[in-house]
Amino acid sequence: MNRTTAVAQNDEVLLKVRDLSVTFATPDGPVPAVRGVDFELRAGQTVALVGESGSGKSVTAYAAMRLLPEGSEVRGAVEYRGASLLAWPEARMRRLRGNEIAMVFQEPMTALNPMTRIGLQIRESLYRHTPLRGRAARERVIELLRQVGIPEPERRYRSYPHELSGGQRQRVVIAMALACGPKVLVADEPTTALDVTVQAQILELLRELQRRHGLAVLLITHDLGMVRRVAEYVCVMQDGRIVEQGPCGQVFEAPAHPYTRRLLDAEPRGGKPPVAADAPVILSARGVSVGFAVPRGAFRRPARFVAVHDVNLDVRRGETVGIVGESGSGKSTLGRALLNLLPSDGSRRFDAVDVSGLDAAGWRALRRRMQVVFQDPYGSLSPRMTVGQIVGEGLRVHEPGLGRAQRDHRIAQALAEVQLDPAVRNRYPHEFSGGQRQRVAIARALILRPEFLLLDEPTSALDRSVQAEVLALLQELQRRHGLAYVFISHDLAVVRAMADTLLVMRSGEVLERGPAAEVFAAPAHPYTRELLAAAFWRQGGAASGAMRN
Amino acid sequence: MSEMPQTMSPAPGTLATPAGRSLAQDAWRRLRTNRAAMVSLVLLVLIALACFVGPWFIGWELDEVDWEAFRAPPSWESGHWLGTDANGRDLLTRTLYGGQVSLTVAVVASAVALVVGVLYGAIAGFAGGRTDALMMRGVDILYALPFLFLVILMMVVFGRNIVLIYVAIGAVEWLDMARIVRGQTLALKRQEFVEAARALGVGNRDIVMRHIIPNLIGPVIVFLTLTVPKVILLESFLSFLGLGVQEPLTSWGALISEGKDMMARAPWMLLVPSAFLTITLFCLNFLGDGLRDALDPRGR
Repeated sequence: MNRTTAVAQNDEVLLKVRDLSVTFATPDGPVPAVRGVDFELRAGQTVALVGESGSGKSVTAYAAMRLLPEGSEVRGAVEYRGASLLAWPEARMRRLRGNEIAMVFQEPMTALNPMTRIGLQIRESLYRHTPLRGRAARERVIELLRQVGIPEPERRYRSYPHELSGGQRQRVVIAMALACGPKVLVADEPTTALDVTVQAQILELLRELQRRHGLAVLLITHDLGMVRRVAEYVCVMQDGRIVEQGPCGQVFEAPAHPYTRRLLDAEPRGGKPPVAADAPVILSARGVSVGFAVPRGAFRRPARFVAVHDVNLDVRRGETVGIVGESGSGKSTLGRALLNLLPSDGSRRFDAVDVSGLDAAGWRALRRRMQVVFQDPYGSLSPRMTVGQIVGEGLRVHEPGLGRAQRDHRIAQALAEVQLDPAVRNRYPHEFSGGQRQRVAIARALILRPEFLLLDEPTSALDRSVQAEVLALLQELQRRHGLAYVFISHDLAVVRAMADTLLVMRSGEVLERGPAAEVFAAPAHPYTRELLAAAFWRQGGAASGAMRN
Repeated sequence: MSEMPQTMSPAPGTLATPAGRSLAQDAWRRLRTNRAAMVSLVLLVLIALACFVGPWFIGWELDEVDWEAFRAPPSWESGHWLGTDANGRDLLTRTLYGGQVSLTVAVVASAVALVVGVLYGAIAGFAGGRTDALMMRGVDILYALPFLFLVILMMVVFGRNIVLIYVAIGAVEWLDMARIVRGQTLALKRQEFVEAARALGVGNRDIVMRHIIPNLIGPVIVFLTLTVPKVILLESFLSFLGLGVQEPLTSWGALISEGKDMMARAPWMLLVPSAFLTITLFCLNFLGDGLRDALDPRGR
């Protein structure tokens, strides 16, 4: 553990938070977000604030930085090297932020100004906080870009954010944060928006920079695996309180608080026994290809971008086929093509009937047998329809003869099946949490009693513990109704728990396929190995404390 | 899974909840709690009633000249409660009659903008591709026609008629609405709930009517509250050019433009119609804001 040596050299307490409370004024009265939080951050140390959404972990960090909006009441004490930050005037605070304490945010695209070259954006904070100007500033920027691992920094100096990949953009954001040589780095979900292989690289980079500069890092995350891998000290937050804190190894090996144990248990594990080899094939696709026309101006023929190339797929009754891949791999496009939500080439058979040449009316009839649940539980429910209307919409289409009372009855049944109180059906989606909304989306799909369900990242927008509940529900429904699933995900741990067959996709092609257990145990394709290494790198580090580093 | 039997327990059929509330009922319930919107609604109804029923009770005719009172200030004794104009005609009577024209223009033109613009824009945006391009180029062509030229042309063909004003203004106002709605629709149709509806087998018409249009309400109402004053002023502009309403009939816009010439000697001639117009526009804005909030289930 060479990090501990760095800590030993410089053990100064940089940031000390004592009894911090935050209350938001809302039209419904004051809402407490943080209730009495204590922790400290030493130079060279990484402290993680872990919790699910709404636990107050981000609010704590923002309150310490005095970045909360007007109308929020902050009490307690925040000390930076002995000085009380809460009493400082705003102008002095501004000099501190970005200079001594820097921040890295979740979404690298929105943290950068899309209209300004990245070199100038980094230079801007140099201009604000340091005397460096002109050529010296430019050289410093290029040096920073090199440090964060941007290839050809001289050329990239003049790039716009959209010309970089997501991982590179996050590297630029980190370079901006490092520009003035801060002592503390506050990283708010720094890798959540990135692909797994990129996540691993960014975390590696953060750790290396920390080692080199003796940074103190305050890491805010929901991802326990990541904490295990990069933090020395962890504070577990629930409902605005730190329910448990301690050295990382201790908290993970012997969690004292029941909530910590629940969080750790919520990590998906186990696997699904494969279905019998003679189970009838419900959906069979051959040579599925999807291409998009990319416009190239009014007078040129559009270019063709192939998103999915020549994919074969069989799904048996009761089987879950997992499709994994990183963003841009074509996995969601393939799913939509299977349901004919996108025009595609190739042939498809559903329940041994060729459905490739079916017209719109034919597909409409078929839709009740094949349904879909989307990723975003906020975007997939119309905000102006009640839950009852949303769930009952399929019935209006496919069973128009149903009376009002019967339809209401079926809606209540469907909601009960996904463990929601049927009395909620007059409420609107915004009144529900993410997990409840996803249950509504599942009820909408199930009310038609489909045989095949496409699950497109159904749990990736949910907290871990909620995710575990939704996955359990999906498994239960599959057992009860003999449903066939195609489960699309970027999260290998989830796929391992859910799927009996696995497809690994990259750039629109299937690189590897086989029984899930086998692929996870002995990946054949180098890309699969890389993917697995990146995904389980964190858990691997957690298997025993001694294995860290 | 263990708590499932409990959550499933309410036997279907014995549910205590009402069968269903519509968005309109909810919206009305929320609107009633919004004091500014309710006061505005009452005021608007009163103004409309006054304009359409009031003139019968005042005792003066639209073109009746009082030879004793030219440009007389408001007074109770003479019976001209809000004064007279330069020709000795009762100003309150004329303002109320003018309100009939202005309010009708506002309602008709806004209704055309609402119905045609929203449908046209939503269909173009949802259809996308070539249909969209064709439909929107049609809008561009209509945009390119000079408005006055259009009005004069219609006058020549159909003769002078108040209905023509309504048609002409309506024909122009829906273009902006169509563009705004199309832009919003393009963003909406990529949302997952629209795709989920397609996956359910919902037809295109129902997707537009049930999923797209209800989610357009916010920007549409904001734009409508901007359209109404614009239409009223556009009508006064036409009247000013002699293309709109003709004497002795009048409108708020025409009265205001007469009043501004007399501002120094007879300020009431400007103030009275302006007050009616301003109060109406204020009320429309408050009501529009209230409606937008009330129709959004996320509001409270």
